[in-house]
Amino acid sequence: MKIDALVRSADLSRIGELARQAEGQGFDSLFVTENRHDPFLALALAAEQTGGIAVGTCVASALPRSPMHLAQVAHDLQTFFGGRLTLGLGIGDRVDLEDRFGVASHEAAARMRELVLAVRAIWQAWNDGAPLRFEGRYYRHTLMPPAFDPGPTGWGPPRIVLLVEEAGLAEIAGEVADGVVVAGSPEGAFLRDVVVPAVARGLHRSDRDRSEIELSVALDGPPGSADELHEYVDGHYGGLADRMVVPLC
Amino acid sequence: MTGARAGSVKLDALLSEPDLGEVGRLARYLEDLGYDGLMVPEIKRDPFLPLALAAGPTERMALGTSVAVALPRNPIHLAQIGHDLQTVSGGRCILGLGSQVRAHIEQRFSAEWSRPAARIEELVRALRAIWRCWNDGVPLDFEGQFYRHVRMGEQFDPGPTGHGPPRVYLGAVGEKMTEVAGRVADGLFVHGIATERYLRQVTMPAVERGLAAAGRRRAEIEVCLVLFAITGDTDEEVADAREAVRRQIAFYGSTPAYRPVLEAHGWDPLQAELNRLSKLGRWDDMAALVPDEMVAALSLDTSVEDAGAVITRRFGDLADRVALYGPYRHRPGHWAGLIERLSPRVAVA
Repeated sequence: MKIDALVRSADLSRIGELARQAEGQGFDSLFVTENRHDPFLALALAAEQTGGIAVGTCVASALPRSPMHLAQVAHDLQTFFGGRLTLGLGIGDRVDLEDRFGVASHEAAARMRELVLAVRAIWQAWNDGAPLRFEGRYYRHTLMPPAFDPGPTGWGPPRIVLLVEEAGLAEIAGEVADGVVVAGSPEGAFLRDVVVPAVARGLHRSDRDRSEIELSVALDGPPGSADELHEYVDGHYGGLADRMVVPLC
Repeated sequence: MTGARAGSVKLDALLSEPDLGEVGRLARYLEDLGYDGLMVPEIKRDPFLPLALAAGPTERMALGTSVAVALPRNPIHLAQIGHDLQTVSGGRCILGLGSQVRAHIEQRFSAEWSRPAARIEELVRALRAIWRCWNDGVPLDFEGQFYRHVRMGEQFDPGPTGHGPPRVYLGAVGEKMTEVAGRVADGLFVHGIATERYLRQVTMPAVERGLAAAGRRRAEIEVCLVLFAITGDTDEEVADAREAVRRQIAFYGSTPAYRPVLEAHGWDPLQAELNRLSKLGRWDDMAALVPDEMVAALSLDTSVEDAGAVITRRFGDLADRVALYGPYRHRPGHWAGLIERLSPRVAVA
């Protein structure tokens, strides 16, 4: 079981110190969420000020962003910080999308699925020199002149994980993502009866097996001691989750 | 500390796609050389990450994008980035935004292209409304033609920067966008393709019209120029630099959006031919078509020793900031000698 630390408010003046703290305490990854601050700027500082801890968003708001800009910022962090990046994406709530960002919220899960595929197509163009010809229902990316191609990261593409709250998106994550995060200290039964079967259906659709995706559970509360955490996790999520995400502070 | 620079032109360092592991040290070095700002364009890479990494190691330089691609980005995200950079740099952020061109917006970014000048003008107003909400606690209630931001949950409000909002500069070549900059922006980045003649005949009158329409004064906007610099330590290096600049001019000259500049000089037939050849990928042939007079009009083809005087003579009454662009390999400190001459400063502590 891997244990990741989550910073909820990624204030740029503090993120370096928090990242060093997480690395010093032996966490497997340092995640930042997106609420009050840009999460990618925070990750650049977190990565620069640590030795090798994996870093990622948990999660960044996906739908108001162009797949090209998401691909670009994640590609850069992956390139310059040794392949340490996980790109965690989430949909957010409907009212927030419409009233804060002013973007449409319909067909959100289907758009998220296509956005992940678009980001991967862009990374393939940059990493492997594949021609960029992504033509989906919601996104079209067909232009990538050499002057705008940053070339390979040297570390392959970042991992993509999706924050899921219901079976539909969990199935999509099973199909297209490298990981699933279920937030809010979910009941073990929700994981066992809803998330795991949905992920399995998605894996089946893309002809992948369970080892090709990681299932994370994010806890709301502070972790307590490491022993208490492991005991809690075994009791609630034993055999179901691969990783835990716990608040750093 | 900031040097008193009355009557002098500020000099910015243009930094394309720096190594993120090195950019902090590099920024510090450029600041120590005396540069007034560090400007990062958005071409192959994200332009904001280098600025976040440059903020800590520097104290005085402006840190800006010149420019970031605006239209595919949501104003909330741009506001968030600008706000964070303004906070972490202690008020030194310049959020430079540009429209890019239609093909890139639609086919590279999968975003909508229509009425770019009107859209960017509204985007700037949306950014300012979001920043007023965060800095001054004014409820967010922005409903425009293109953008709508009417709710800011407490959990998404970062609170004030402590340094006011970042400055917003717009990249422009055409008259419409230049007028928009005059109306709403704190600064204007004029693309390197603009010649002195175009600046005087087209750009500055458009800036003045924009300023007048908004009841603003010239001092409320910084005009920032990019100049191709043909410099080198040996004759051979200078000759190579000139050919590199010629190629870059051929590339820009092939872009239909920059046609008005070529028209001002009667070079518009060349634009069509460059555009045709660019679609065939014949870059060498394109460079060969760019005449010496065009290279001379678009560049600073002089020694570093004389460059300061040349900039002051040609652009001293137009420009508030200048950045040199050398599309060829050169050291970061290559133009250090120029900084002294262009804008002598009292010793930097």
